[in-house]
Amino acid sequence: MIYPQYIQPVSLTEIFRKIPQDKKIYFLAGGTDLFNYLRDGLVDAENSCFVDITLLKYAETNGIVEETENIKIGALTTFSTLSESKLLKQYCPDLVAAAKVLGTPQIANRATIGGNIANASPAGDALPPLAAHFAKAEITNSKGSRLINISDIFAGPKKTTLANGEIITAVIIPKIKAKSGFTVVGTFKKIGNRKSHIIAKASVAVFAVVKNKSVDYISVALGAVGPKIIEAKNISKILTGKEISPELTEKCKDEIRKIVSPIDDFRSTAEYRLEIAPILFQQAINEIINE
Amino acid sequence: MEKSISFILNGKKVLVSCNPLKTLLKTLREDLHHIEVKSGCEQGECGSCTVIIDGKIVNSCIFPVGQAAGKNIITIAGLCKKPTLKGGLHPLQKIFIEEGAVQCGFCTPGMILAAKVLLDRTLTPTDEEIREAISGNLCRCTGYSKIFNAVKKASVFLRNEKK
Ligand SMILES: Cc1cc2nc3c(=O)[nH]c(=O)nc-3n(C[C@H](O)[C@H](O)[C@H](O)COP(=O)(O)OP(=O)(O)OC[C@H]3O[C@@H](n4cnc5c(N)ncnc54)[C@H](O)[C@@H]3O)c2cc1C
Ligand code: FES
Ligand code: FES
Repeated sequence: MIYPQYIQPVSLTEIFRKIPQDKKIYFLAGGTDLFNYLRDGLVDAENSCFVDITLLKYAETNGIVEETENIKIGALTTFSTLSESKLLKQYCPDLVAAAKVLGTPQIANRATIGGNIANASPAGDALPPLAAHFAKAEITNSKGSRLINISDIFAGPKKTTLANGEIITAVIIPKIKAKSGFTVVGTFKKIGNRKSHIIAKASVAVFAVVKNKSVDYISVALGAVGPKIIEAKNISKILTGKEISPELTEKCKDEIRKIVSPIDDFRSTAEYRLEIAPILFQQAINEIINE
Repeated sequence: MEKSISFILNGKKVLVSCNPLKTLLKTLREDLHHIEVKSGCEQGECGSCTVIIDGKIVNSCIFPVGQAAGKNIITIAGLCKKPTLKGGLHPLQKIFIEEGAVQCGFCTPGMILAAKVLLDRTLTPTDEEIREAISGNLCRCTGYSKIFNAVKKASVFLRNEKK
């Protein structure tokens, strides 16, 4: 087997000093996607370099920290760590719910949030919650860092807007606090073939601030039902300041049917996805008002 | 580009020289002759290649050996040390046999290692926790209920042993 070039830098400075200019750069985190691409011959080994980033210093890229306005998640943070985070449970329960259903335990121990974003699959489980939180990714190159909206990273399925050699170093999630009497709630629903480690045929993230059925804030995003993650902005308009009722829920489900653009692929059909996406939303709403 | 990579395997330091992007599974089986680590799908789906690295289960078929440097790796062969049971088997191994949780045996190494990390964390797992712990390991023979029973029985055994 022909292998790509391999380097294992220990700091961001070392990365930018060492990456070859004439090769396609693949950052190697958990490898749960990349190894399958390598095995399936999707990587042009002779003209590529795998930059193993798992030795980067802890503080630079790993772990979850609370800042005044934001939660900052290092790109190398694994989904097992995300699923156990008390801080995320408090501010991003929908992301925790997604982390809990991502992959098998073996995969969740390796798969990173940075890899999930960079892999740019519309079925990536972290993406609907991150979109629902209007999260930003911190992108770093040799000149410095910049923040871009999660949804602006996607150029389409499996394609990002990052330049060759640019690395995702962190994810920034703005904190939304509940006003007195209200609570932060959120969940993630997906449907696939096997309970454990299913790649979604359709998924829904709902993040809200509620008091019983009364909604102060709500944000919804849908995965795997279009070429990119879909932010369901009108649902916020329909429900904010209202009581959740069967009528309003039906109105939201109609809205979902309108904004999705599902396709037929090897995992499912457009027809099934169109049918199931509003049902997943309904399940998510039922769950958050019963919490 | 070969590299010398050393790690702890079942308590002993080992040194291999290979491409750091070779999978840990291939390195263990081909270079170190640890064929107790099974090769199934080689896509991260089935869990038969499961090993424990620094206390966590991972699929060795999608793990680059370059990332194993300096790590502590345990395969099923690393479990058979406790002298408390006949033949030196770990209680999980012995109870898997007693309960008939092993048929062809292909999934067994991965299944037992997945159960071991669960029981290292808690000896009072809920039914749901047991199912979740072995959810990354496919078995095509047993129908899972005997495996589930074996893990449950092992948790009781280990709990009593601790008392
Ligand atoms: C059996 C199995 C089950 C799975 N189940 C699910 C599931 O249920 N839900 C789901 O969403 N996904 C699933 N996946 C896909 C995969 O595990 C996730 O997409 C994971 O988050 C990828 O992270 P990683 O660290 O392994 O990335 P890698 O494989 O290391 O990298 C993936 C891609 O991202 C790039 N990359 C990685 N990190 C960075 C970074 N910091 N900056 C820039 N580029 C980077 C790599 O170069 C590569 O192109 C599954 C995969 C397998 C094999
Ligand atoms: S052989 Fe590794 S998961 Fe199947
Ligand atoms: S015993 Fe045969 S696969 Fe499990």
